[in-house]
Amino acid sequence: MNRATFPRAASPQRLRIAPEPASLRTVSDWLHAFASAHSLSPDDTYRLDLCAGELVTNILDHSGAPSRDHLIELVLSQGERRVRLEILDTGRPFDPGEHLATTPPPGPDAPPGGWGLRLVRRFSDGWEYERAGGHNRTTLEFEVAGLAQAASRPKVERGPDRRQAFPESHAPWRRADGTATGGNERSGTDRRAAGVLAQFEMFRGVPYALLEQLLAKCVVARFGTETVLLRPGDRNDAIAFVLEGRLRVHLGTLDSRDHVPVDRGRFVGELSVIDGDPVSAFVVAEAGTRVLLVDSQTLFTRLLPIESVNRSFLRVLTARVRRSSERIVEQLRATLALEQLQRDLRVAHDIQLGMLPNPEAFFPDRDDVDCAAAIRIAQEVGGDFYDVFFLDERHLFLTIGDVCGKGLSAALFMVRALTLLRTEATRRGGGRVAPLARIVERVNRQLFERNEASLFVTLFCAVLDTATGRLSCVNAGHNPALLGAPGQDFTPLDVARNTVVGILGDIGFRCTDVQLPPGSVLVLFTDGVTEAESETGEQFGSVRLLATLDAASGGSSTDVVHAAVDAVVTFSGSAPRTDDIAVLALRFRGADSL
Amino acid sequence: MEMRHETLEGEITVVALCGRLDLEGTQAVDQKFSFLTTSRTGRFLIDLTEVPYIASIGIRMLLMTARSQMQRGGRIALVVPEGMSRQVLETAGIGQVVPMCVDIDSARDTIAAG
Repeated sequence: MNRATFPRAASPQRLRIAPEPASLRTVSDWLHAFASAHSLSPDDTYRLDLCAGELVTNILDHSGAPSRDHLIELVLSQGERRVRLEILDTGRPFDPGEHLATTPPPGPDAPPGGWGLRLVRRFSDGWEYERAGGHNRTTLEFEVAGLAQAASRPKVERGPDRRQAFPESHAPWRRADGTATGGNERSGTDRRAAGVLAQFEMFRGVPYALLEQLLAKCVVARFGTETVLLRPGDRNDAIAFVLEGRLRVHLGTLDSRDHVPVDRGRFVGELSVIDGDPVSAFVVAEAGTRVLLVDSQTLFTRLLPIESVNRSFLRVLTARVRRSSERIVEQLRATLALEQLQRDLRVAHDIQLGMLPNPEAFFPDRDDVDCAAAIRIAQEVGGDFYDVFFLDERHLFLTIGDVCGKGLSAALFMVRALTLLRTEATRRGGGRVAPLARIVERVNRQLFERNEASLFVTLFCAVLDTATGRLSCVNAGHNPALLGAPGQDFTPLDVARNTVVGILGDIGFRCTDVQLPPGSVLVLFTDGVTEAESETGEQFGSVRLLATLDAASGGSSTDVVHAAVDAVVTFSGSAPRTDDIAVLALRFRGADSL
Repeated sequence: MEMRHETLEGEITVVALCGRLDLEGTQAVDQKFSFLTTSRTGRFLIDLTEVPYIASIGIRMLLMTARSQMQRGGRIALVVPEGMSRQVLETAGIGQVVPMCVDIDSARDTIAAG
């Protein structure tokens, strides 16, 4: 008998590794040795290597704190044109399939993670997970081009087969390419089907002779190419037992990857046979699959009256109902978890905005400066921020920043950056305000430490000496600030460029001093302003921004900020906003106005 | 894991990675690579011809660079010959973010145009 599954006798190969990153290379070397010994193709070797690497990486990421008791074991076995890789570990329960189902798909704008399991799904030919005996066990299957030691089956001469009594009741089947199979495709070997069936759960305990007699009336269909057996809405009058190969049940569309495999010894079609209703899913036979079709009459009048068959059949049905109930409960739980997450995000949004100073109430008691700001966050939580506060009676600190990336990780990084800026800016050295470059350097060093996600922030920081109008600026990879001197158009401030903050630890930042004439307006903004796109994909750009600011420069800081934000919003129209926008304006009235 | 870089005509920086972009390989080169490719806006060609294997951690590193350049108006293209690594990158949808070319010449044309 041709066996597509794994004989227990196949020599398994085992590897035990410690849960540490260095083990990944050991796994890779071990797989390459196996692949070489079994003449696997380079592509198949790559798939094994990739999937094993991703799953082991996941175990390292999700298994909790490292402990001496935590072990990972990999077991390889091979069948005909197939390789099976089992990965066991003693860490916390972790179901990769469930994890994948509850993680949003990665995309160009999503946090840069979550690819690993998707790669495994794409590059393996199926996985199963179970938690048993304190172990996670994930089993991956690979159909491979190598391992070609399977000789063709000996041809069995077939004479007239008196047992093919009702071959016309099921064939022909439609193939995926639109052609149809012939009639009963029973081969000589299939006469031994009853012998195989006797091992199946449903027929356990039924005498061989009785099985053969019963099943002789049924059709064996063989599918050389991938074939669609049933589509939703079809009528179905037979249960299909898989003798060899595999059927796939697709619940959504035919090309959905979320399918349920039905392997050798298992069956499909029982629901529509029992209630006579149309089929509710696609059933596809993979190439090389053979199924035994038991029509409803044989099932009800011959098989089910046998008590042991009846019990087995009901047991299988019950198990399926239970599994589907469990699935419903799992989905419900995931939905509830998602709702909770969305509630949490809304709270995070409020907390984040609450951290920024209220833009309507900047220094009402100061006559020498007039300051205003506005921020629009594109998603629930954002990465843009601004801040402005007096370091002492005389020195005003102002900053605007943009964290690379979006979503929760960017938002948390933004909170760290903002908190560090406040701490470092207000730190006194000998009672004096620290030089601005030192402040940014300290913030950079602390953000760089414990920055596993390699996030970074672009920053524009400035300290205005309100007594002299001297403005010290540090620009760390951010857009230039714009200055509108009285009676002149806005122009970018010429400030030394520095690298972004958070990526490199020990670097210096260059500070540039400029003189603000009394009455001038300084505008800081994030790139969401100039890079906002219209419905036709055109960018707002710096020319439009400068023109908008020039037109508004006679008004208060609040007028200037609102003019800029309104212009961007009008320009974008109904185009989706993908980036946060933040604007901060400061009018320096001059020391004399005190 | 090794990294080389050179500047071509037209201010295009070619960064060639050599070795496996698995966890170890990516960690070995990540800092250097990110600094070179994200600390200024410019035109970058990432040559993966000599990368025989790429895992999700490597995809993540490339994506961070691509995103950071594109957010700031820089241009970036990958050189990835046909093969499994290309399929892996395609599965991750990198092609939607960055052009993937089969050799340096076509990548240079892609990045120089527009």
